[in-house]
Amino acid sequence: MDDPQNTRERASSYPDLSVEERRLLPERDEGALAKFFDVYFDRVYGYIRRLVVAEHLAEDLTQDVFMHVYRSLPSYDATRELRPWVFTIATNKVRDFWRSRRHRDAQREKSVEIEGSLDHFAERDDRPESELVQHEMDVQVREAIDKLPDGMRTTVLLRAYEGLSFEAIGEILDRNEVAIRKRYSRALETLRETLGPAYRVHQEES
Amino acid sequence: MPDRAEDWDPADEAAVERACSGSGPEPSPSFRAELRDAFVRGRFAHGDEAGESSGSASQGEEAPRTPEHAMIEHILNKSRISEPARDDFRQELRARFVAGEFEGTAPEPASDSVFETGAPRSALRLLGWAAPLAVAAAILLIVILGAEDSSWRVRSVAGDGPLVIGGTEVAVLDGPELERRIRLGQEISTGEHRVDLELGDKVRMRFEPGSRVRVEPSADDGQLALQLLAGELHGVTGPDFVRSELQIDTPRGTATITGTAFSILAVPMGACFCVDHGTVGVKDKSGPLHSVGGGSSVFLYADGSPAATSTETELGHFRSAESRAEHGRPLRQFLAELAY
Repeated sequence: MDDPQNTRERASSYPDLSVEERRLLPERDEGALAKFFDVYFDRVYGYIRRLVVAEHLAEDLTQDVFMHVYRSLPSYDATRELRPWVFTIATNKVRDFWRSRRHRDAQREKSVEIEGSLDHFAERDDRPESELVQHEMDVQVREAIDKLPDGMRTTVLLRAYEGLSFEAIGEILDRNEVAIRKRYSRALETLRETLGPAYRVHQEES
Repeated sequence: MPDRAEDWDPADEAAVERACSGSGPEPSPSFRAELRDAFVRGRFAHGDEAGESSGSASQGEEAPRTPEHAMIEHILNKSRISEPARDDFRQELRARFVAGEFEGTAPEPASDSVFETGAPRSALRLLGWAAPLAVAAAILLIVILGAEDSSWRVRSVAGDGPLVIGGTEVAVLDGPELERRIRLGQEISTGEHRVDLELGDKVRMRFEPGSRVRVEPSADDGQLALQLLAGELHGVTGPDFVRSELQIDTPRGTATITGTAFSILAVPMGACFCVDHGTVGVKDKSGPLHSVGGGSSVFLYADGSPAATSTETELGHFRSAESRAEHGRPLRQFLAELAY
């Protein structure tokens, strides 16, 4: 298990609402709601977008997350951390989506969007070289993450981009902590193999 | 990404956060230097590593954290992997969220108990088998339509109490919201409502109170799917359905319908297909193909018992007397209301 102190401090390093602000959420205080939205919107949207890729799907599911949060706020316990709760809701929404037929349809859209992204990149070759290089890396990393199995992808996003502890991720994904650690380790290894040349370039730079 | 907060000062963490969110082009120099130092010396300030090295046997089974993995984590941190949301979407959702336009709470999905006692006498003896086979009562309707893209529309919603879609309550008068959720493929619990949907001039469906259904969105190839998890539906095909085919796939078999009017009842002990007109081919996985013509029905038992055929087309025949009195109406009455 993650060291409690470590977990606490890791959590504190990511923007979040204070305990006082959290106490206002069950009352649906407008100020607290606005703060909550501003703190979590980009992170929730970004998480979902990386999992479902298509913009319109990400918007639909993000909206569902915030609706769910809003409706659940009266029963929210302000002593509980928001982040695991919010990402549990987001993960469940995505999981429901994956179970649906629409997910299979979206797979086709995803490949089209990735191709479009590369086309867009090719067209904009007037940017500074460093930006192009970084953009190329971004695209490669994005593609590599998209190729991960759903479970690995979710784990990587929650860990590497949201900084959640393995224990918290395990609770969100309904798996034990050890399984999540293993999954994360396998995901990193898969990414290393997938990224290949990009990884070696980065290694040389370092 | 650093795992131990004590290994990094707050300024570094802020830089990492900016890089993760895409708002910062580079990690902080100190973070880079720290990681470089750790990389060269083969010591990574990673809470997981500490946990693994001192953990249990099961933790010891994990792949050892390597410099390569740390480098991958660094690459992940540095990369902008997510596109930003549209500004108008963000602003609109923010306004709705803060203003509290989301009303109500999220109750538990409605029970499907309405039909759980509605077995025919011959089926009641199978109740002992029914519970473990409840899942087998799920019906998958695969509607293979033409190549035209289309989506389900809400014709009407009638009844009292909550309509629960995707685990959350939806205002019954909010048709667009309901349709949006249907497009997401979310499960609908009709509760006390009767929900009528239509797919253009191809097919109309009515879901009775107490039903749980997942109306799958249309695919680009025109193939659609509906899952009737419990409850009862009626369907009537329309003029544009002439060239089309309706396939009904259950865990135990597949039914094929072409231009017809039908009713389907899903209960724990099986599923009943009643046909008013047209022909339905019901293929039981463990049995033969039953050709069910207009004015007849077939009941597929979840436990694999031989299918029962009947000239009875009223689903009420398959319910208990109590349930029949509450819900039973002539099939033709439903069909008349749904007819194009």
